[in-house]
Amino acid sequence: MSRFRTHAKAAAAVVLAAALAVGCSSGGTSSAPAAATGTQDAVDAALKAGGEITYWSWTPSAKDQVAAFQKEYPNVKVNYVNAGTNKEEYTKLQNAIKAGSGAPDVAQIEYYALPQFALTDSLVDLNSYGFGSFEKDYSASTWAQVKNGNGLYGLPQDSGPMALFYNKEVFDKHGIAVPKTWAEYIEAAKKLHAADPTKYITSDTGDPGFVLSMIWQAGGRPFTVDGRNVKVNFGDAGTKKWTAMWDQLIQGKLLAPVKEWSDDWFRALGDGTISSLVTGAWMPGNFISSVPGGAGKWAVAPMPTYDGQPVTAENGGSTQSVIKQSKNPALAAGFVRWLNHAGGVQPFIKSGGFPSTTADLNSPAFVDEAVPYFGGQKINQVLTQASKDVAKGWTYLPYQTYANSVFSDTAGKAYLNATPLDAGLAAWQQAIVDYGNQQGFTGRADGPPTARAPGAGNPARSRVASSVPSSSTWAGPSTPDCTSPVTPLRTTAASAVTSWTWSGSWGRPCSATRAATSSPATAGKTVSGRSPTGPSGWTRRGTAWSPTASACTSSSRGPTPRVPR
Amino acid sequence: MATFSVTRPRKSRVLTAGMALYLIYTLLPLVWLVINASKTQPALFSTSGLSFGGPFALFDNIGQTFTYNDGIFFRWLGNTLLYVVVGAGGATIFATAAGYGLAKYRFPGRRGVFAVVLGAVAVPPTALAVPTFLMFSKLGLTNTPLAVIIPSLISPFGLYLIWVYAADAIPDELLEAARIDGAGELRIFLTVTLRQLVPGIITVALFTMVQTWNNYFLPLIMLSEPKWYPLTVGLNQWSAQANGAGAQPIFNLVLTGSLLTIIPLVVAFLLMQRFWQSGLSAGSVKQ
Repeated sequence: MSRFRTHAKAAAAVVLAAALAVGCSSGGTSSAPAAATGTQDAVDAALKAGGEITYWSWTPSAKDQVAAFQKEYPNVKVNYVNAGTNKEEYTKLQNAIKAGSGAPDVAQIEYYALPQFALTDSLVDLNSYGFGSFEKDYSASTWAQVKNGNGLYGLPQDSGPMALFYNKEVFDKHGIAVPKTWAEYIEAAKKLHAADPTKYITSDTGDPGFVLSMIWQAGGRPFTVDGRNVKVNFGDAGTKKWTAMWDQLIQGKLLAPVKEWSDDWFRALGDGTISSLVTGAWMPGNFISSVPGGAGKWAVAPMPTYDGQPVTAENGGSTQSVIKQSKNPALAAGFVRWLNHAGGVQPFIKSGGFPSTTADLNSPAFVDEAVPYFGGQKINQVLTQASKDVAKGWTYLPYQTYANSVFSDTAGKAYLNATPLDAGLAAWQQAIVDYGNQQGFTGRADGPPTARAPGAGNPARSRVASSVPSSSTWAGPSTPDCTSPVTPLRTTAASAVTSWTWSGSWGRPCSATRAATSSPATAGKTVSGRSPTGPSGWTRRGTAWSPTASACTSSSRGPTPRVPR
Repeated sequence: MATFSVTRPRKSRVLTAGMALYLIYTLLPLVWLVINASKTQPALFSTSGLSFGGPFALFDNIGQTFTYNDGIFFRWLGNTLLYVVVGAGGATIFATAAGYGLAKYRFPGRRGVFAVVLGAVAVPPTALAVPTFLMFSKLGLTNTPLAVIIPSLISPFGLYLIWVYAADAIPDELLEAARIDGAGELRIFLTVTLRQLVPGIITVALFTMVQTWNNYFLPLIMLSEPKWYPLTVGLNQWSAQANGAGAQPIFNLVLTGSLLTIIPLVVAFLLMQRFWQSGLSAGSVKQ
């Protein structure tokens, strides 16, 4: 698994490299374009004229939707391609954008990944087709997520307002009331695990998407993005509220050690090992199709809060966007409009999706549907209410996919070793800032770090690395400089190399790839704030970190081979 | 006390136990795979991993694997075969020709070639995937089968192996005799050398075959359309379906597909292992 993760990380690195180059090739235009408004006439005309478009998606209903669309518009041909689920698709999409060809006309993109594509100017601003007028038709929380600055970069497909799914049978058996506050939730966790050590309140092995949603609900807003200026602060009050609460579950060993979305996990949901889940409103479809053992046992309640006042966050959810590479963007926009604002919505709901259109969220047929799997509970009443209680003002990073890929290496340690989350998040923050700087963002670790890893040196503020040392070999600009788009690419390629060789079975390589990546951030300022010993296995030489002799193994094993006779 | 000889060596309990443990360690995942490939999706989630449970659905699963998503598995199988035949086959041919040439001809720069080849052996192919991708995207080769085949054509390890093997297995006297008889260099290579090199070639063929068959990361980043995927990437895509909103876990098909994927390799090994063994031991005794 760790091998896979490093692959994903490496792939993400390519993505970002590509992202930067693309940002440059577009002439370094400002990332906040003026709101271009247009009308839907062009879209209607394109739909009438017909044509051929390619659509990337992994939504289960995509096939049915495409078939229904083609029935309605017989002269439009949609080539549906499942190019991979989430991260995989983004890698391919970004690669195709970088390559200049091979990208689809329309792609499914999750909200968290949207800024990455919007910022690199890879998506068509749908305001130019007058889609901005659809705002009133979508729940506020989803609409906010498809907008970036003034640009509208997709129409929301689904949403994932969070709720508490719990195994009523297990709760009842142990006399546990449905927790309304997080304090009650922790009490329930302790009570349950004490009564039956095989049962856990929930599982969480360190999922960045979940962590961010939980911080979102708690009122934390760790990311501030203004064009290419990125501020990261996992030390705000909201974040600390969540870490203080969740630390109790981690350190009390009250979380089931089961990896999410594995076969074990599905099994644990069915047999009561995991007795509750705090997750997005899209979960019921998964329960019904993949947790047959839980039928009739599970129920839905509002997400617990800190003060009992209803507030929730979004978890997951996707949009369909038109890629700039499209040769027929008007037709592509017409397909997106049909998918998420017309005929495509019903097939989507039918496949178990949770819609983002207010008309459907409020329709009696949807709200009052008694779902047999949940013992006849009208679960959509709870979930629809949740979609109205989503806290406002959340922003994702413009390179969230990369950030998520290094979560396990940094914050993941808090889960692994049951150490304080604050320290883990501080490490994650550092990795995010470092990477942002490498990629030409002006990254800042904003505010004092809340808790530092034992032995950590200076507070984060002193690590602000907003300028590039002139003596550095790294020539990456802190603002897009399109005269040298190649340099960041090389930097990233090297960092990707490091990721793999570390995971290789040959042990840690002695090659200098690490030094290559340690360009500006590590070379100058950033490392100084790390623990004095540096990353394990690396010693400090001058301003750069080099592998210690004992930590690396030479690639050529055995005596030096001779040239054969 | 028992007597021991070369043909009846002394048995060591510790070593036997160690080997037994290793055998179990090696076979356990395989056993797990076979057992679980026979389960239905619900049974996978409700029964223990190392025992049979639920209805026996192996043949059902195989049928489903081949028909799911309009039989895309079949296409992936075909792709893998294409990549193996062209990629690994080509790699073997190149390695054989080059290895023989380097072993038997003296020419300037030979040491340089040797250094480059050895260096290349030390670089894991995965590390080259990203540079290769950036290069291929400039050439417009990404998302085509060539993007997988061309990098597979190069096998520094195979070249090194043939080189070492040819140096020992083909007596210079034989080549001299052929030359005196008037054979051209190409004819010598095709009629004299190739036969001598068969065990080495088979060994290299097996190595490159396994490598190409299991190739994952390169096709993962090179290809975006499932219709060009090899089995490894395709199976991973099926596995990823179990993730997130609208997850459609088809672990039963992933497992059955994995089982089907390893069978050709197992068969190849069984058929070619005698060549393999003679290849490995070649040169161990000086005639």
